Amino acid sequence: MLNFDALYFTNQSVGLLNICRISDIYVKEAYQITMHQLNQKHSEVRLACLLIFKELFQRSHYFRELLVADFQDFSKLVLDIDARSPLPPPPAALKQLKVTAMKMIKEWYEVYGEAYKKLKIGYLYLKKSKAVDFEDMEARSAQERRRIQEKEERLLALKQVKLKTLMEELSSEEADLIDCSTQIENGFELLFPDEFSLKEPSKCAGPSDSDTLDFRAHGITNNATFNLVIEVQTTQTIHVTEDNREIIKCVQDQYRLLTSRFLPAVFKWNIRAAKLGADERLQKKILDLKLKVELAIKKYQELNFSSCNTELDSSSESDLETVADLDNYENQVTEVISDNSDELEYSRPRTVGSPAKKKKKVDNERRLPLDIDSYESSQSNIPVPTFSRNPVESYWVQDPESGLAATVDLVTHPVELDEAFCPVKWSCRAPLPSGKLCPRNDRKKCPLHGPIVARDELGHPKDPSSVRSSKKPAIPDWQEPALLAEIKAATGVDLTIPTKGKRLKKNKFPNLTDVKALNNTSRSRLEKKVLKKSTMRKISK
Amino acid sequence: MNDVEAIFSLKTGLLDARKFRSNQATKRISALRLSNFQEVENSHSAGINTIDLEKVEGRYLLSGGADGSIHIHDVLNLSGNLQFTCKNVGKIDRQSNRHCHKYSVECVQWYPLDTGMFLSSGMDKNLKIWDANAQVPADVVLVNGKIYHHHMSPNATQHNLVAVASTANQVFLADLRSGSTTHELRSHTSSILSVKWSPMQEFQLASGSMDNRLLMWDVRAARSCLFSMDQYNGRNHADVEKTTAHNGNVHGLSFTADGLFLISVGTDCRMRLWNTETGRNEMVNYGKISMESKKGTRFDISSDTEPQMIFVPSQGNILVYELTTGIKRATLLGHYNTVTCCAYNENVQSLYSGANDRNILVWAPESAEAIREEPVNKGAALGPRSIVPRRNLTEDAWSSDEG
Amino acid sequence: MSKRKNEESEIVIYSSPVKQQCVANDVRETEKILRELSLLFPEEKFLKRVPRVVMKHMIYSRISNRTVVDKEIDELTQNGVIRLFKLGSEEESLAVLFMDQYKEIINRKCSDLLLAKKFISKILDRIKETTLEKEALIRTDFSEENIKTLIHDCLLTVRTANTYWFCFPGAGEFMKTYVKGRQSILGVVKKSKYQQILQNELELRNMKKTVPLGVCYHVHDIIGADLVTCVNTTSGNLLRFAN
Repeated sequence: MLNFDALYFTNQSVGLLNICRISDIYVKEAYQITMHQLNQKHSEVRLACLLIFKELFQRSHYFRELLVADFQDFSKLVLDIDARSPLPPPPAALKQLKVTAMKMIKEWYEVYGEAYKKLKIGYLYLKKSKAVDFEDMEARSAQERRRIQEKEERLLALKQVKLKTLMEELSSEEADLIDCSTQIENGFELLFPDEFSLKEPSKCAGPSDSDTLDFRAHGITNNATFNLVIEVQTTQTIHVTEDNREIIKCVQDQYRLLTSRFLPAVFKWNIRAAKLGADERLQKKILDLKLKVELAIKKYQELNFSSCNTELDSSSESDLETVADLDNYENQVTEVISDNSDELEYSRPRTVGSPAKKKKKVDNERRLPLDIDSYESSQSNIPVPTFSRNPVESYWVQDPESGLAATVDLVTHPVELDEAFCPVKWSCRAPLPSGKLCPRNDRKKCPLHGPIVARDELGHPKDPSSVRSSKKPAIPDWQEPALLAEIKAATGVDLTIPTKGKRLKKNKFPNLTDVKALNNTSRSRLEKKVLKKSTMRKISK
Repeated sequence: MNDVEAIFSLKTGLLDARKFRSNQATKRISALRLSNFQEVENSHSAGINTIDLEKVEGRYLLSGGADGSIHIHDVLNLSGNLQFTCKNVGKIDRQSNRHCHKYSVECVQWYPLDTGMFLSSGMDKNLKIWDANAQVPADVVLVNGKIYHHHMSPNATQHNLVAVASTANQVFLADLRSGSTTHELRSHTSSILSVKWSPMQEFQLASGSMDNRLLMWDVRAARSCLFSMDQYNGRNHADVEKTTAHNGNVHGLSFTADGLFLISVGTDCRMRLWNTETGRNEMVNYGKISMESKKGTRFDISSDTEPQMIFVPSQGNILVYELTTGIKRATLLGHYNTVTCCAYNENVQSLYSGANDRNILVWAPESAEAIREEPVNKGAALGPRSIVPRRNLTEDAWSSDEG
Repeated sequence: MSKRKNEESEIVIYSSPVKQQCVANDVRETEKILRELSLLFPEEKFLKRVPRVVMKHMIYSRISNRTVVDKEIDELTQNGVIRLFKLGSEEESLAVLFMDQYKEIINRKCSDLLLAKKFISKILDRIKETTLEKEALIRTDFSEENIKTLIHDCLLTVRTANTYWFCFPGAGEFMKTYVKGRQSILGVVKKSKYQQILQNELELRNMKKTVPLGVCYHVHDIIGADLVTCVNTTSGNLLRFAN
């Protein structure tokens, strides 16, 4: 990507300005040439032209008049106002082009608008009729802006709807929740009346002399400090009696309700309210409810209600039957299948579901050939699994009457290799024109250098009989890359002889991003093959 | 002869007054350019289809838009400043006036004798006669076809007929007194795109149509048209029955002020000059005038200059041709879209043009150098950005740091 | 150098050439130019099969007041000095031939000399238009056979059932080379950088194969037909493609 700031006051731009200041004829030529380049279908080129325009515009009156005369065409080429002629790729430069152009036109209008009528008219026209938003520096066209606006509106509407449903839910559940939690709290109250709360502070005696510890009176003679350890029972157990059984049951029920229904609900509301950005009151309300529920649950757990069994008898009459564990189910199934197929003898297969074992324990009896054709033919005498009689209502099942063989696959029918796999320990090591040795690790034959033979350190084969017939190599010896690079640096001439079939690629514009390469994605390459007109015609027929 | 000498000759009687006037007018016309000082207030919200300047004072400019709206601007500069915006003094559009045209307005024309009345016609097949002050139509004439053009005779005393060119094959003549169409002129075989009354002969009417013919009528005559103008002047033997004026539709007509010549513009991109007495093609070669639109263009002729000039809109530009020789004198660039109409103001030798880019531009004879003195009313005329006086903006500003 | 001030971008002023004033009644100016242009035509190439043809719009490249040119051509036609032929379907494809050359080629190419003489005397000298009606031929005692011969000799071309175009022998060949030459020259201008080329440069290029009529000939042709604009620069004429 060109660094466009670096263009300013480079040698070339200064040279251009120097030429132009000599006479207006040159200004006209420069204008025409640059206008011609502005028509190119490449955003970076257009952007460069724009910068040249900028420089010349602020300097030459004649140039200003020329550009203002062609203002329509100019604005069509640099702004996205005509649907029939969109701005060309690459996309990054496109955006920059738009933004730069808008900024420039705005500046020009502000400075020169009074003096050049047509510029003023042009600016107002673009603003009014073509809806170019000069303030929006993100260079969004009118359509994009509309789209974004619509999307935002839609999102807002959705949010409102969600909020509304939340509030409805809240209001419907709120009553029940409060009911439940008050019940549970009342239950707690009844079961554990708070003996330790100071109900009437007035009863409490103020600091009086009777409170001062009179050790002596109590029989403690020396004034040493001593520690008194009191064991406080933190966990209280509840004793289930006839009176409080009902209460305890009720409390337990309420607890269950709380945990199963209200706690998750209140959590969800909280999260939703936060996401939707609901107003403070609503969030506070939800938080209060949440706190309430959590407190109740905590208290319940502290008081260890769950352990107390309120049931009169311990026989549990649930509808569920215990069923034996099914870990061996799959084995049994496969056993059944294997029993059914009596034509092929093979040992008990492993379980279907474990993909980790790729290789199977040795199957000594059956060896399959390695090539696919004889493999196919060996399968020819297996009956093909057929559909059952009623294909509409059934699935692809094996016909229970005739279905004998399962499909043969590598799972049930693995292929054995004769030899164990041993990795290649050698490399081709044929000498390359660059001086290095060929690093390929083929087992038997290198596609470039022929069969793998033993070679010495320089790459010459040890056995002279396997040397290739010497004919003059297509690549002459002096074509060493080091030498060539030296020559190129010294003289600028590239002496590499292109290898057969290739041509030295000349990059004509090293600074521009290649638009054609941008479009050359794998998708486009595939599209060319798949969506060919001839194929499409064939399909449509 | 420069101005001082000319005035001296005028005073001593050596130079005829009319000649003096026409010399001055010609000089001014040749310096016609987009006015830096005058502009018309931008009130249209759709492309402008037609404009008309009233003939009495040359003060009010009527313009009709593609959204059916009609605007009136006051173009007379009474402010004393050079910098002047022509204000909108009347607007008839869909939001404010329920009598407004439902579809686009194709043609507007002031009543030739005063500015109390004007006529407008459009695609809603209505010819409306408006009271300019009340902005209410006094009468509506319904015509059997979408109206492309209408014209009221500028000097008629014995009749009050308005000729209407529409998609019907006949030229309708509507009578203002009765409020309905009274005559039909039949001879064309396709829709009629433009009609014009002769400015000298009050009963002579020219009509151009889509069948490529240009016919001259005398409305008093009982039989059909007087003659059809033939572009080959009879030399083309092939189609004797059907003589064509153009190789395309004839969509613009204009008489010269003396009524002797008629100019027609066609979609074959040619302009032709006809002799109205004989109907001969004067064979003036104006070259190719590129025209995109098939609908009529309103072009104008300056009658006070010597030689007379034709201002004809051609796509985004206005071309200025000499009437008799056909040489292109100038190209006026300024509009952004197709220019649809232009009207010439004789009093000040300026041109008003309307286009699809919703602007009405003023072209006045001004020199490129801005006026050297500061304008009379300093505070009001230039805006807050005028710290840099205008003349500095038009100067070159080569900086010295390059080379 | 006052070019800076003269060129104003909003108005493009075409100054009337000096020639215009003195050509008002001087028919010979146009004739002179026509003779010059016809000399550009490379007769040798066609080996006398095609006479020297000049297209009418080529004159516009030399004289800018087209009305005057048209008027003079009219006069010359009426006087019998030149003759106009319609060669294509456009308004612009009018070819101008000098009468003496036309008569010469008729006498050379026509199979029936008597018929040719009769044709010249009775028809050509009386009817100066580009078209001819069948009635006129019949009135002047041309039989159907004669008409057929005339058509065969390329002197008449059928237009409608009752009318004919005047024509000259070799018209078809001329049209083909003319169109081809024009396309290739225009192509060169279009392909040039910035779609403009100096006339000198264009003339330097070797286009004998594609442009048998000659580069100079076609330059006048494309300028007169408004396909390129001609800008006068210090190094000669610059031809810019007009789109």
